[in-house]
Amino acid sequence: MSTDPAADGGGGPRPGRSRFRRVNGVVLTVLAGAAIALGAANATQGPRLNSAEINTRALVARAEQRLVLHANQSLTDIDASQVTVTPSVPVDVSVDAAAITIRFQEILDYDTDYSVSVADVTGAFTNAARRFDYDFVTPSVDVYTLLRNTTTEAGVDAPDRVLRNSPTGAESTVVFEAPRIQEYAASETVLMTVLQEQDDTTALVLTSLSDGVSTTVGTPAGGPLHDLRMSDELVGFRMGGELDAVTSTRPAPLFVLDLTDASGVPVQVVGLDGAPLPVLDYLFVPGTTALVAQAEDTQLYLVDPVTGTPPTPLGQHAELRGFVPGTTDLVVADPLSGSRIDLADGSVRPLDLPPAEADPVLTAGKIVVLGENTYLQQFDRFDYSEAQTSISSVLRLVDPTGTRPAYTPASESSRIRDFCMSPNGQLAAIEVVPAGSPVDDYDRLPAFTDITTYFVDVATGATRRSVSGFLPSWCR
Amino acid sequence: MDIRTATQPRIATGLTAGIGLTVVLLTLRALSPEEPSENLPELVQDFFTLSISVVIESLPFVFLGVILSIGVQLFVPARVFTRLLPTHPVARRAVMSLLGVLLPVCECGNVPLARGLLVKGLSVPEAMTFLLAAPILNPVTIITTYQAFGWDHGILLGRILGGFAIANLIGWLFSMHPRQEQLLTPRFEATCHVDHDKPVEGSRFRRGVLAFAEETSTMLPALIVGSAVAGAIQVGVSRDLLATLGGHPVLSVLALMALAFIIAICSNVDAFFILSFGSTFLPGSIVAFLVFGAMVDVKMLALLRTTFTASTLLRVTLTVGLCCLVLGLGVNLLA
Repeated sequence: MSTDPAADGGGGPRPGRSRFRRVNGVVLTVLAGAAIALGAANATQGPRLNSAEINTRALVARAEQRLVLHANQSLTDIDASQVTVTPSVPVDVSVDAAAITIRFQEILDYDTDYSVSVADVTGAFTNAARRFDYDFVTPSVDVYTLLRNTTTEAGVDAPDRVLRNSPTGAESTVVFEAPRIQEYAASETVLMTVLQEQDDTTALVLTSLSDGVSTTVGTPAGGPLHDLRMSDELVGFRMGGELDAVTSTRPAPLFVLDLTDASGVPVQVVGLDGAPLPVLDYLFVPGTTALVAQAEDTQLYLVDPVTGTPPTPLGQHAELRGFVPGTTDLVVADPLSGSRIDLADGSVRPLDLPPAEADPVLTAGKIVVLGENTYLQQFDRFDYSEAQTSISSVLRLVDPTGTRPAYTPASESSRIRDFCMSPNGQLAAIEVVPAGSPVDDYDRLPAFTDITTYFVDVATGATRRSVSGFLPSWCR
Repeated sequence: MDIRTATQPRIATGLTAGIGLTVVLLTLRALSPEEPSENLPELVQDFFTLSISVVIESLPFVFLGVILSIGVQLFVPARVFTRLLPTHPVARRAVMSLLGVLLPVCECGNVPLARGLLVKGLSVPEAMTFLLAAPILNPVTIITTYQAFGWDHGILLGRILGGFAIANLIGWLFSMHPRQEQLLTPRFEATCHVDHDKPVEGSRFRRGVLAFAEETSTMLPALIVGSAVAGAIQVGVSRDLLATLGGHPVLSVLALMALAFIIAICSNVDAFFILSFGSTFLPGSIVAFLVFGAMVDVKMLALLRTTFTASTLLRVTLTVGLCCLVLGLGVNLLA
């Protein structure tokens, strides 16, 4: 073992040891002093925002999503009144040690800058307060439209196209084209299209939205395929069906294709007795693998084709009207009233909507329920004064405070063909047909040649964008 | 003292005692019920589980350290250190503190390696700088800390820079001591003299085996005692109490330093252990845990006591503790 050259410092053992003790004492004193000073500074400083946890995609898909703000020290309780969100959203707040959990009671808007400010955040131990500020931007969303081209391009018939659009941006891209597209449905990863072949049969085509590769999917025999719909991983469609002259309905067998099932074979939905169930209409339950099917006798069933559990009857109702945005609350209509069925617990509530104030000459049309007492309704005006009857439309927002215009086409002679809501309930996709637009030549889902789809912010009435085509994917 | 004549009877005695103990334990196991642990109180079960886990976790590194130590003693000539290391003491210690990059062993494995370096002629401050820095400044520890925390809140940088600075401060401090042999236990100090004074005898293999027996017989009892103390304190101290202190900017640092001292976890894996506390404890307390625990804990003190005097270890513990407190509080103030 050697000794360090600096060890002795030229002095004898006694002065050397004394020097060592002195230096040691000075070092320990300096360190202790620094620890005391830093401890005092720590003990009196207000809390700081260290990090935040947020899933912005979930914020625009569901209500009750949360933002967690992590402070650098334990905090005292915080009241919701201390939290300000811009644009305004009601929130619940809770504190667990150094984490503030802010739960948004509503679904947030797409492509929007949000600012969250929490006033007087107080350290549980230091009792010092600070304000926390956190900003985030919600993502945009894709919506698809179908553009049936009835014109010619370079001397040949132009193909039909499915367009991917940003309702709040400026982009539109062609994701699929074919000579005759009857209808389509889209999820985040897959586009399904029903093609009309030259022999009037139909083909079901699956297109990957990541690489654009298309594959024809085998379907059962039994007539043309129609009423294509999708959930995240399931594809539903009806096949054939004969028109019932008495009820003017067309019950048809319902098939479901599970995209996660390697067999790729569609499964037919069956009733309580295990026999194939002819259905009049159906809807996938958002965010689940279940669907609601309306049988020939208007009985509704909750069916999970993935688990294969027996269907659950939901009662007889005349019409399926869709889901309240951001929920699994199914809206159904009967001749004299409507109901709201919470599929989470099976409870049924009468739909007690405030009446719309409208000119008696207007004809009331489709209703889309937005919330507890709020809905959008279409009104049409028929003008018989000229040789050819003209139709104009208006969309109105009705809530307990009254009725106000939500959207009126720019041209008085244009009419609304259909409309539906974005999954977060923020934007209405409204198909507008100009006067004199000719009908296309499709037997199923016939439309007009010059339809434009407008995306309108329901809360403000502002038109965010318009795109060519119809059948927005939010309506499927 | 002649190493060969002194160690041979000890090996024979140790071997006989070991075989006897093994036979007794096997007989006890054969005669005991199928699940004897179920009859033990929960606290005793926890004590055994925690103590044995520390032993199992540390044992490979202790053996690796012993082997590296013997390798240094047998195959690295003393002149290598004098030629390769800088001559200036501060620079020498700075280089020694980075030696862990080449010899990635856990802190418990560093003790035998440091003993080997001392025997080979390195000074006490240099060996001490290596001992304190190597558990932190080695690739395995740096990578696991990065995987656990990334660059968040300066935890990784705080650990690396803090570890380097504290180890060199301690090295500098003890370089002031006028009689550094007094920092060592008399027995180990005598071993150093024997190694220097006595001519080399026997083949390298034979000397290696004897050195292995010598080192393990010194290290293993210390490891077992240290692990038992760690297990006993963990059973006795409520972890909930530590967690409730996690949000206090000052007490959180002290709480995690106490935890690091108690649980005696290897520096190679401590980042993943403390990751579970990351959401409740402040970043400064995490840094203090990662630096203090890698340098000083009950198991390490038991191992270091084989080499250093109690007063030396007290000074080291006090200085490292204050440094880590300052580091943790500083990070809490800034991060």
